[in-house]
Amino acid sequence: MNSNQLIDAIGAVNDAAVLDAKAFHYRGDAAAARPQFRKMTVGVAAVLAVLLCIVAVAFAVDQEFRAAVLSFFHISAEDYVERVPVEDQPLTGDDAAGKNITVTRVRVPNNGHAANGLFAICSDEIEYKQGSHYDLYKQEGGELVKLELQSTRRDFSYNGTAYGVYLEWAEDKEGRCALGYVELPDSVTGQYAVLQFVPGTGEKLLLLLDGKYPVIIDLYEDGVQELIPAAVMDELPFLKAVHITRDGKYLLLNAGRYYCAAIGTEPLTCLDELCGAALTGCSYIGEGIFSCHSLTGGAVDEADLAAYVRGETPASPIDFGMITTWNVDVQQQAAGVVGSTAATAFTNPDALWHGTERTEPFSPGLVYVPHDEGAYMLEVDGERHIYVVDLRSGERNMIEGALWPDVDWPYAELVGSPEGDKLALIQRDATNGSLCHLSVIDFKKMRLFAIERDTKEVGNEHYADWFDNDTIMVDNNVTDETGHNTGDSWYYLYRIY
Amino acid sequence: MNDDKIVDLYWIRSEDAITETSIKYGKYCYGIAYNILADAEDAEESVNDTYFDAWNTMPPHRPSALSAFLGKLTRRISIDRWRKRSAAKRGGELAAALDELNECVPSHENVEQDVLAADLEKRINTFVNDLPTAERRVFLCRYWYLDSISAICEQFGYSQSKVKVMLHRTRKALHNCLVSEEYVL
Repeated sequence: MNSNQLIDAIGAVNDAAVLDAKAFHYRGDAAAARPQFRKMTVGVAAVLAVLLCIVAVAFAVDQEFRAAVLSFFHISAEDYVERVPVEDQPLTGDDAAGKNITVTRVRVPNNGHAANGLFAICSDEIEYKQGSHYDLYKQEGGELVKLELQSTRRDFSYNGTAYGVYLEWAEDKEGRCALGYVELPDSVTGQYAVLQFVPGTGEKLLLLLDGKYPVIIDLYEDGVQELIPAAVMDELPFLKAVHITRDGKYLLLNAGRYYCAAIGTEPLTCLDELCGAALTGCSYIGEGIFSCHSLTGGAVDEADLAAYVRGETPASPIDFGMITTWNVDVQQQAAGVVGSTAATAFTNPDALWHGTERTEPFSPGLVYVPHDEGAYMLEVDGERHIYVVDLRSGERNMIEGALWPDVDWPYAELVGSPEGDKLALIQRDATNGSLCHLSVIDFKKMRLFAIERDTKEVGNEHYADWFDNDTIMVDNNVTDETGHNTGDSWYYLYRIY
Repeated sequence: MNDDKIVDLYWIRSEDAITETSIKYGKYCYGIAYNILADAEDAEESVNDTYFDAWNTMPPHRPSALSAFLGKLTRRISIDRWRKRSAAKRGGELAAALDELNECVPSHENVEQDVLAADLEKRINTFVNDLPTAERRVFLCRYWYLDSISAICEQFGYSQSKVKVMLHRTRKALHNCLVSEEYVL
């Protein structure tokens, strides 16, 4: 038996399972925080605030009341709140005193997960399996606080077709918002239905109709806003990704080639054409500037690369190619080269898929290039010194006193924060997949924060991700021999400041 | 046009069948082909071959789920095309998926003989059906649709780390399933 036979056999899986995998199952969504207040009647808000105060006071002082409320949410009072004192968490690196990291842990039921700084929890097992309604919570000092769900149904027509969308969502005082439930018509769910709150607006949601028409719907008002004319979208090949920039001003499309457009004003710009290259990625720097990059050269021989990832000496030295970056000013329709740097196994997609066994250190060069959002790249030299490249200016500066951690690259990944100004380096254990190494690089502060956790020794930490732009979260739960959760999860929230 | 009517068009040998299939499922098939081939021209040709195969298969076949039927045709045709391409041109998600699935292949010490394709399909089908819902969907998106990890993250709202861990565990479970006593021929 070989993997080719397996891939063929998987192709014969029953139709129901195949269709189910691509059907739309809403499992909680994240959306960017926004600075403005959302529309809300002041009188209603005031009444709610008074009620919330009363409930909060009762919740805090009355154990019986507290137990009743928590029981309603299927969470027991004893294990609901538990904050780990910062001084009890061994945080090392250049922050041994824990001055720049705080940690909080939150117990989240098995049928829950984090969603953009909030938690989405489904209290009904059947609904959970169907990917249905979620309640949304914020966390305050390790406690889950349920948010009021709002709902709306939006009916509209676009490009000659009628659509009806039903949504439930919630938002906390800081402007973090997430969806709890979504019902979309089949034509929307057939392929690819992006649902992203437009940053900076809160009440507006990006939706991809029929897998190719990006529009914005308003959660409070009727109508639909077309972002790119349907006729233009019809000309594009298969759409792979759509992203609204963090300032809410631009749309970035990946349709094999990269395109962008200022929302509501300008036509579609092909970034590949402006740069004169086949781009391999793009990120938004801000103020109408996109950083674009392209990998050239480094056509790696498969046999050589296979030998390389096995830790053997390849027949010829591996050349991972060069990555060239451009800055594109969309308003000026101009592109300028920022520079070129050697790619590594981290930044050459052709090398990445081979990496299952490699344990040797990587070659020096670019280890991180931002996608969607971010103005910083990361380089490492042969002595493991770490350099941050500011893509606005092209400046390259070394992080003083920090060395690139000794990680096995096939099991490591680099995850940019939502705003792209921080980077998490996450490594999983080669044998059981549990989380081992975790550190964060703050590009603006030019610092490496190593996060050492006693909890990792147990092997119950499974994955890490950004909870919000300043907080990295670690999911800690007990699993059975097949790797499935046997109970609730603890989410450890490490806030870097 | 609904699927029954499209299938009817095939059965009465109307060329509108191809047009309607293209309108309704063209992008869907192209997405599957492109995931596998990572080349626009090759993907386009695979989709055209899919229409040709559909035309030759209906009648006598009358699929109960047209989208799944077309998806399977596209997947098989695209994988065949990928295999025929030169090694230098290979790439895309299929290459990665094959590499990952190597983890699931039992060593020959554990399996007395290679299983027949039909047996393997049956075992995989049972394995997939027994997976928890979320794991099953992620597994099929990766190894049936050949979606990239980032596309799966977008679809389900999971982090890359979470998807990778889920897939790692599912592959491990599949490996255990294939080498377990009851599955050895």
